[in-house]
Amino acid sequence: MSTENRGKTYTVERGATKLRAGQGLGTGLGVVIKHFADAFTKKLDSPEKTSGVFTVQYPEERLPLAEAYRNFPILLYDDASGQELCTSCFQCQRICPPQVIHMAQAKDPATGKAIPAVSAFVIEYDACMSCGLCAEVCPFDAIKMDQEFELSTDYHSGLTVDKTDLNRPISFYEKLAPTFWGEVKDGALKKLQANIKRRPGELGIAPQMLGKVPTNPETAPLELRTTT
Amino acid sequence: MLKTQELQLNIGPQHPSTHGVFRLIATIDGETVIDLKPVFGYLHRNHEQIAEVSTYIQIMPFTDRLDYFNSMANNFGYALAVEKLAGIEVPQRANYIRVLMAELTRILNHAAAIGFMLNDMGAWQTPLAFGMREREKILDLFEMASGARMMCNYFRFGGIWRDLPPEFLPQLQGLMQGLPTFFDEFERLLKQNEILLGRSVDVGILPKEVAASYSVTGPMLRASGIAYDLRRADGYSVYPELDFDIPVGAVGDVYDRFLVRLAEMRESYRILQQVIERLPETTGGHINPAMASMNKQKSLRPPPGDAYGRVESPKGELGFYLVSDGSDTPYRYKVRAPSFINLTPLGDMCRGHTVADVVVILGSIDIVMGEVDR
Repeated sequence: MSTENRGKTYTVERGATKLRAGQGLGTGLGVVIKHFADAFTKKLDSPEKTSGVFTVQYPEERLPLAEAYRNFPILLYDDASGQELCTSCFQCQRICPPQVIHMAQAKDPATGKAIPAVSAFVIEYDACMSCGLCAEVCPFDAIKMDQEFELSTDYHSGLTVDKTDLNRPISFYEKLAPTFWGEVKDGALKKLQANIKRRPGELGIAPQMLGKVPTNPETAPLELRTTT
Repeated sequence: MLKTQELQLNIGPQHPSTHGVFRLIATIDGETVIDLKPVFGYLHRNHEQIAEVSTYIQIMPFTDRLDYFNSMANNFGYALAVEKLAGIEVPQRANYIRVLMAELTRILNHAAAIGFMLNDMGAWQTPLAFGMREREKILDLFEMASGARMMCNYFRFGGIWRDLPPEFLPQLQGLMQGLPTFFDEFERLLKQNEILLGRSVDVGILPKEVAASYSVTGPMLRASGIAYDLRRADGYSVYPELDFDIPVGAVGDVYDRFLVRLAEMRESYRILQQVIERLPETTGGHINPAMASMNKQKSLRPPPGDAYGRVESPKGELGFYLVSDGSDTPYRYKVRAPSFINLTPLGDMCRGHTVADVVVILGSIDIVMGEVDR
């Protein structure tokens, strides 16, 4: 193979395996003492440094999180109209490796036909493995990964989270991940506008925004109803 | 005359020196181990069976959880297997980023593995803190690129999840400046330490022939004197374009394994230097355009057939064997886990040593129970 000349094989140097007692220990102890002294005088705050204090006093001090950091999924709704981006297309439910996402599609009360809105949405946070596949697959950019990690609780069933607790305004996510949202913003909002037209009444409005935003007419326009 | 009697001693499954839930049944005569039987399976999570009912992309996050120290290397092996099965090309830039991640993984694994081995020798926490400090910096880089420190889920078929963020390379270059200091210091701290020499020289010798007959791979095999490295032998990804040497040991004892790991960190550093230098000139995006959307990834249906993808993970040869029947889930999925296979000669290595040495020898194998039991 042509790879033969790319590097060689060499035997590691074992050095003197019998030393005068204390010589190697002394050298090692020198390293430890240097770091012990540095721990009082230096701060390891950039990656090229190798000594100094590198721990922070959590929770008073916190390290900044990377923009890409992901913990658990959340659902987004539009700040102004209160309309949820989710259309219950079931893509995230299907791709979820541990199968912890459950949802139900909303139905038009007048016709009984399915409409692009979600009536119930549950994620079992206790079994979620934070892989981020749901956020990646979502064609409407409705499900995104949150960066909140202080979720420990002594109340286990509280970790089965429903739509009310999952909903966040778009502005919340935009602050977390400005570049990520910037990439998809235009497409997501355009799709949302098309979907709002097909949602009658209160359907599709985030529960916490009910009463604060105007609702749609009780029945969706006829020409849109037939296309569903 | 004094009559002696053999004694069966259970070490584990709940024991801090067994690196997880792992049980050793030792038959001892006084302090000397005359027989040793490893018992595992306590952490079995049905990985292979779950994979047979999951789509190809759904398996990717589960591979993170095999050897949770090296999720990037696990992703790499699995992605290679699927790409071979489905015939997907990987662009050059994606390949270089993959190698970058794989080599960072090797450095963090070896730094932690040496630390844990020293823990087992009684150097409680000090060497480990040195290793963990560097590991932490690398995990910060992983978080920046992939969104998670350990369960990265970064690789996709035909490339990677996202290109590196702009702040990644400056931070990596900072890390690269610090790494040689860390290697030198780590070596000064440990290499000639009398206690380490006393505990590791000529302990747990694994001769070449025995190592080969047990299919041992990785730093364990190289410490026994066989220069077998998949990066060279298989030449997957862009490794044939990179210069690096293969360090091997002379004796095959615990001390050689320690030295080989130290040397491999320096070799990984050399590879990283070359990758960083070439990264700006690489062509092709971070993913093959044909596979760029998640829709393509999740509906992947490879043609019927089988494929074996393997990488030199920091622990040895990590292989993924896939059989496809043309549907969206694999018909059969098998993981060749290096930790598991490297663990099998444990009995041979420990025979004739004391119980305290068993702990050190186990530490020198560098196992992760998540990978052993799957």
